[in-house]
Amino acid sequence: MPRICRRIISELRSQNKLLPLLYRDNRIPELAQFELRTLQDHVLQRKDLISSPRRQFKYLKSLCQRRARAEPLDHILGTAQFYDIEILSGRGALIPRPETESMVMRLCDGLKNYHFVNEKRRRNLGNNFRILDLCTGSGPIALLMAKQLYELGLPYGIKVLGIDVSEPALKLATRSLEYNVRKGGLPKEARRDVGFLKGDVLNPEPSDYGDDEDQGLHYLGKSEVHDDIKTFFSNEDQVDYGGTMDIVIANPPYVSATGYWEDTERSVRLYEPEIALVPPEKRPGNIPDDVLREDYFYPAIEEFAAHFRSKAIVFETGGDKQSSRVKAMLESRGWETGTWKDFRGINRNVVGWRKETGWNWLLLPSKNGMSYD
Amino acid sequence: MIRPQWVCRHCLSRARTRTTTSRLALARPASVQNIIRRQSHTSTRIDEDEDLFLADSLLKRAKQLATEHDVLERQLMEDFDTKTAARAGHLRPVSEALKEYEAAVENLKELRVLASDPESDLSAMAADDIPPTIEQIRTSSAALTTSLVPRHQFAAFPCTIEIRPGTGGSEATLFTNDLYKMYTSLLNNLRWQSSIISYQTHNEMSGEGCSEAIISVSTPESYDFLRHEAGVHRVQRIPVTENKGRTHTSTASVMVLPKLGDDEGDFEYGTDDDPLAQIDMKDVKTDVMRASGAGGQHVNRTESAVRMTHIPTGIVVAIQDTRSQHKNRALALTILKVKVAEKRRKEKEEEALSMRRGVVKVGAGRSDKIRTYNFSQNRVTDHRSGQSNHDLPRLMGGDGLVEMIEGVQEWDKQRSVEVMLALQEMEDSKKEKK
Repeated sequence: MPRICRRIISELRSQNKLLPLLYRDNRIPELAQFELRTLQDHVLQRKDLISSPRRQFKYLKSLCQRRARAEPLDHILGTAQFYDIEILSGRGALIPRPETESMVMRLCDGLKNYHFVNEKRRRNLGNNFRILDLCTGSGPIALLMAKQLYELGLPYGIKVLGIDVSEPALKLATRSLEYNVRKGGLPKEARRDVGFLKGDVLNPEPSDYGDDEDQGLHYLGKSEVHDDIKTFFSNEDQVDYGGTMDIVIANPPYVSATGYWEDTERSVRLYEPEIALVPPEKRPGNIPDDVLREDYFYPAIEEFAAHFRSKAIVFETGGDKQSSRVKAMLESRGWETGTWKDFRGINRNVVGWRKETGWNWLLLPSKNGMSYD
Repeated sequence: MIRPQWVCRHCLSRARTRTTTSRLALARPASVQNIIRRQSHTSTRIDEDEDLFLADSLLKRAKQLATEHDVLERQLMEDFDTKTAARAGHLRPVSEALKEYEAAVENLKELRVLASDPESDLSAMAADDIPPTIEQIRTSSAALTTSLVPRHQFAAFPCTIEIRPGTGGSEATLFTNDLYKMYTSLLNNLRWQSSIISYQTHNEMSGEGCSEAIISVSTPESYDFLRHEAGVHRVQRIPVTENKGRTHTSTASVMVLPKLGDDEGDFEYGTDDDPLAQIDMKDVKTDVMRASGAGGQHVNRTESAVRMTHIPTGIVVAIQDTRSQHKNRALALTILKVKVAEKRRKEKEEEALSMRRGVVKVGAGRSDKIRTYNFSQNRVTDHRSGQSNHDLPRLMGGDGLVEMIEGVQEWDKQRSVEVMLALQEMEDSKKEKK
């Protein structure tokens, strides 16, 4: 992080006396100006303050002071912008990252330009297009995927399910869904097609249907989470009772315990939940001993993808080294794999697909500048 | 005085293929020789048919295009796309002509084998079949050559004809008026839709003169035909204004320009439908503010500013409009496309303008003429194709002009083939050197 420069501070103060407050945390003059603009817009939206410029300024100043204490802008504004949808945000919520945004947009762009290019594929064997977003958090991936896929107008519709272990995050996700439907960002069908459910990906609870085969629900019973997923996707019109998936996408916690103290920003440690960043200390039962703590989630999610016979799997990872570890893990389990670079030039995403699906378009460069490879 | 010895064309062509020294003796470049169809007397003889077959370089190019056509056709079978279909449509004649040509050549070979076999009963029949096959090769190779000539860039467009007097004062204005009448009756004969945009009379002397006439032809593809009319037209006659009976020579210049604007289609400038707004993403460099560090979950700063550079044109767009970096990127790309399209459109307009300037030199003299109308000899001669028409009044009424233009078209085609061949040979020799 660059040091605070006195010259820049005095220059910023001459423009607006609140600017140095914003500069304190982000250290980029242009970004400070942009944040001030955004905060000013936010203050002007407050109808109750509109009659009093003095109170407006006081409110703006208090917001800037919060920002100076390294509170993320999205927490202050109460919303985060994730491409063209708004995600509700607030104290204790993880801020959706631009890397995640790129991942979703590149995937959707690939689906649009390479996959759904002919009618046969759009019909998808009479099934709706299914996306499972594990470790969804406040649901940005699920909501943006839904929004982008609705725009494609698939004949049998879509279904998107987000799973997370954190109750507050899920509450936020459900509210974000309603918020976007009300605002018109998502169509009304999204209330039916997009869902968020609680579930522990690392240690799934045993299923109620475990041993009882007489109920005729033979397709249930692997675990509570698996049952929830199947119930959400199943539908009597469907060919396969919700037992298969098109894409499993995940941005799981991937920061290592040491990396959390060494590499993360102060604002991240102060204001964002550790549970969303660092995997739990206790090794889950089915994870082999040689897997590092920051990699716990990847094999667990792969098991979900394999169980639901997903066509493809898309991960966000912490960087080049983690990407190559995850890639090797996927390859050893029979996936075709590849990596995507982010705007920093780091291998940020690992994608895998089953050979028989022929989804190698996943590695093609984007036609609309969504890829950085 | 030493005069060059008379040489039979047929012997000349044989000499060319045998030794290089005799080739050096030839005045014309080899490339021209290759494609000229010689009407020598003994082309039915077996051992000499070099002239009959097309030049290798030409054939190579034809084969390339035919393969491309096949690939495109296969693509179209799987997935229909208008652009691919259009390209395949352009290449179809080449592919068809090549097939026909190859079949005929194959045929000829077989016939010759049969004919050379004295034992066989079929030899006489085969020998009878050889001349028609050779004729077939001739026609198909001619078709192939013409299909290989690239169409003019603006061939598909409608056009405007502009006629202005050149040197010769009032007599030139009188001749301009004659030409104007000639073209209107030609367009009437062809039943092409046309309208008069401007007609300026000039009645300084007796008779009707015209100082400027602009006709707009709205029929598509009309530019391809009428572009051959552009140039200086020369008239030689005793004008009505002349009282001493002397023959005058004056000129009028004709400009034919494609009408580009109307045919661009219906779209908003700078959108994805705009053909000029198509950008190859390889040419775009994207910078994100402070794109360093570990990134991902480690950082939560709103790094949303995006700067995009289109390298070939050097256009830069910097955007920080929303908090979403990707939204900014999309926005930057849209703006970049609009700007690039704007620049390209401007360049295109400039190109059209320079073309307009290049068509006819201002104040064209009597010597750079393309056609002469000699009234006293009742003769019209085109100086490019060398054709003459000896019924001037009918030609001025629009009859026979079509044939004359077709002659010029033929001449133009030949010339383009020569140019194409020369270019191809140049490329080939470059490759060989490498």
